[in-house]
Amino acid sequence: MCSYLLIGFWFTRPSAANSCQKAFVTNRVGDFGLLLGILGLYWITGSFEFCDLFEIFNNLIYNNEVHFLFVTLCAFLLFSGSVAKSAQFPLHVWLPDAMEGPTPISALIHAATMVAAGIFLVARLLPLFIVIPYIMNLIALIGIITVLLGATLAIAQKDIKRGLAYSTMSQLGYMMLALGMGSYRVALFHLITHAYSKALLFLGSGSIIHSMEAIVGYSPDKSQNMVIMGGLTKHVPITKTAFLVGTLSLCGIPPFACFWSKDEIINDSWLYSPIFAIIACSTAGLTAFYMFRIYLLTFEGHLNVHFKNYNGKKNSSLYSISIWGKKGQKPIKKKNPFIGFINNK
Amino acid sequence: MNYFPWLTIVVVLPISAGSLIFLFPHRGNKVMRWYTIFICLMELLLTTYAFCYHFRLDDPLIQLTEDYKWIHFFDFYWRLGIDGLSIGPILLTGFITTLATLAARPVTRESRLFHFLMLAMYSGQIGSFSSRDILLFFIMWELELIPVYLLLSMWGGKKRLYSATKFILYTAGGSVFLLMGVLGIGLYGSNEPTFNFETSANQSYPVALEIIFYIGFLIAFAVKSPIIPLQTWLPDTHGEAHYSTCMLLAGILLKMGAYGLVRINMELLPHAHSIFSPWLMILGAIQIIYAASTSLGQRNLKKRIAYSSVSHMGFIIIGIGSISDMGLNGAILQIISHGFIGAALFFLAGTSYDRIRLLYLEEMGGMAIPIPKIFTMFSILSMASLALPGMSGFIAELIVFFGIITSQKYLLMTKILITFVTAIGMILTPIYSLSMLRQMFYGYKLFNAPNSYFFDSGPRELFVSISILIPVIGIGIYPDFIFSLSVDKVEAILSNFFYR
Repeated sequence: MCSYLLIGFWFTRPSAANSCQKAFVTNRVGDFGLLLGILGLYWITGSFEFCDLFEIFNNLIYNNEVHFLFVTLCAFLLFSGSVAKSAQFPLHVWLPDAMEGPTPISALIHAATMVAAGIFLVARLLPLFIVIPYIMNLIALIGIITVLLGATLAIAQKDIKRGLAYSTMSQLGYMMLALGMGSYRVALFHLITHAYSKALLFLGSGSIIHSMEAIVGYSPDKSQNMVIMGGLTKHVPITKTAFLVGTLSLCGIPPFACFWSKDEIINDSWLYSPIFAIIACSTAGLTAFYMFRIYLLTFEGHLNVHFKNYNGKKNSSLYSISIWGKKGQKPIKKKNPFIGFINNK
Repeated sequence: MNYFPWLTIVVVLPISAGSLIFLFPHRGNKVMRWYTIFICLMELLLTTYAFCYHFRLDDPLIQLTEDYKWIHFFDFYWRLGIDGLSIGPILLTGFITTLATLAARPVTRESRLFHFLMLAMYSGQIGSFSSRDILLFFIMWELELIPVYLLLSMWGGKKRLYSATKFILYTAGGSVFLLMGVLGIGLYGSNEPTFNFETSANQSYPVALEIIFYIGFLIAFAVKSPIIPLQTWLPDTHGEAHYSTCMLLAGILLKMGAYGLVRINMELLPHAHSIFSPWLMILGAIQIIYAASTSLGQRNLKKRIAYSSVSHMGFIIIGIGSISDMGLNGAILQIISHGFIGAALFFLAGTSYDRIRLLYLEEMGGMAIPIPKIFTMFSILSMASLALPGMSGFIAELIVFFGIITSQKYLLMTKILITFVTAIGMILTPIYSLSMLRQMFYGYKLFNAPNSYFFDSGPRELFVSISILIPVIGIGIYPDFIFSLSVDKVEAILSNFFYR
């Protein structure tokens, strides 16, 4: 509910209204599964407390007293709750649209805390899932799919917040992968390090958007658009340093935080299955690519406010963005904020 | 103190005080409004007092009974009494009717008749919840029809005559079956008619006769608390009535049907109920999904909320059909909870219609800026309607779910199927609620004629909304308020099913 209200903070924007409803309903689909899972588990074990639940459940499984398919179904339903909450495939659709909300909201709940609740739920219920191998494989599979999907989608974003949202989705996939492999400590470790890094990145992006709004106006289509940004190093050096630190950390460069946790995940994945490990490693490379793409587009080069060839509707690669700006263009001075605005029209 | 006729006073006071309204001089509406509100409040306080001091919570039998001979010729006594099952709805009635009268302040046309009809409804509702005599129950049930017809046809919307006629034909048609059932039970087995609930409850009928009576009563109650397919009167009626009538309809009259199901069908006809309860559960589950899906397609705001009422009543039907402790408790809690929430939603819809005079959702939009207080209350109550945890709707639905699971009567597959189908309703409910909110309040729209009547909620409306919100949140946080009233009675009712 809080997510709903906060995403819809600027409620006069129709896209915000649509996004908050989408987020609520998608999370409700997950909650539907969660409720059914809870009810099924209650029916099997007769208790709600975690300790009793795990004991009774383990006894029943070892003595083969319950129907295996039913138990698997209950566990799957419980897992689906966290699939929706942590934006795993296929219930990930709400997270990019949730970027309609203010940036502190994105930093807090959609990067650090709320989307971590699903991971936490799976970690909490891991004693239940561990005795059902099918579910563990499923968790790892969904994790790896989310990792790859998030990373590949993040490469193609032109909105800075959406790019970070897909990056969050990818990193949550890493955590789910770790949980699926049974190494919950690593997953929770990555949860914490990622929370810090991503919150830093989001807050940095918020600062950039705020500065860009002074130049290009309040429409997110322009102020969050990385195509128009560039060359902000000279103007916002502190934000640049912070963003650089966050980027380095998220890409897994030692001695920053995410290196240690991501390294452990990839290490465990080699022990689990080679295919997953290859995908995880290559996605780590993709992570580095898109994160540095965001950083370089935003901070280096020249300010692209006069970018005349940019047409948001064409997807052809002939219109790709020149990262170093057009030669011979002077960077715009902040004294004339209207020039860029008029030119872009 | 045991023989002080509390319940008789509580039942008779509103209508007799209401008939005094016609003696007032024609000096303006203000006197009548204050008088009616005063009577309603006094009645509510009297009811609360009587229940606080003279009702013991752990006694599952009937309390505060009164027994007066009325027509000795066919054993028709004026028998009243309450127990754990009826005390909740009676307090709900008092509360909602008082608030509905307060909400009806803007009514200026034919104000005397309006307020008299409100008080007549008050009497009829409390009478039917507290009657211990089947024929008296039927008479009080019928007493509801005429005031609602008049309220609907005189103060309703554009299609009011059509919906009033539809309402009365449906309900009166259902009541025919009720009368036949009542007379059948009363005249069965002995040479003299007995309409006493207690005697009838202890009597056992042959199974075929029970089934016939059950079907008769079921048709009558299925019209009232709508069970599909007999629910088609409800969207028209709720869509066209003035919002204070809607509050009474959605808050209390629908619950009379559910109450009758428990009181008569479960207590008097247990064998037939055991036979029919799987069908009730299936119907309830289908009702939730059907009404939620239909609500999604409504363009009229009030009809949308009306279908949401039908959807929530499905939970009550499921709770009644699952013959389990928790199921019946959940059904009773949902009766009280949805009484509050439905009334509040209709009230807010009505007040926003008063301001904007638009009923179709496409034409509305962007109203959050001019009327922020209504927007806040509407959002909170929509969240309550979609069973957000922390509000009473969530507890009620959760306990009904537990009731389905812990029911001992059904096979596992049936229970899984019913639970699954019911839980799909949980996904559909936010879709229509939030979509309604989004179309009404979110976005930005310039109104062509900003009229000076477009004020935000005044203190009266805020008072009504908040005083419904407080019990909703209170019960959501501490549901024992309601469960302590009903738990023993539920046990007593269900013991019939397992020992015969």
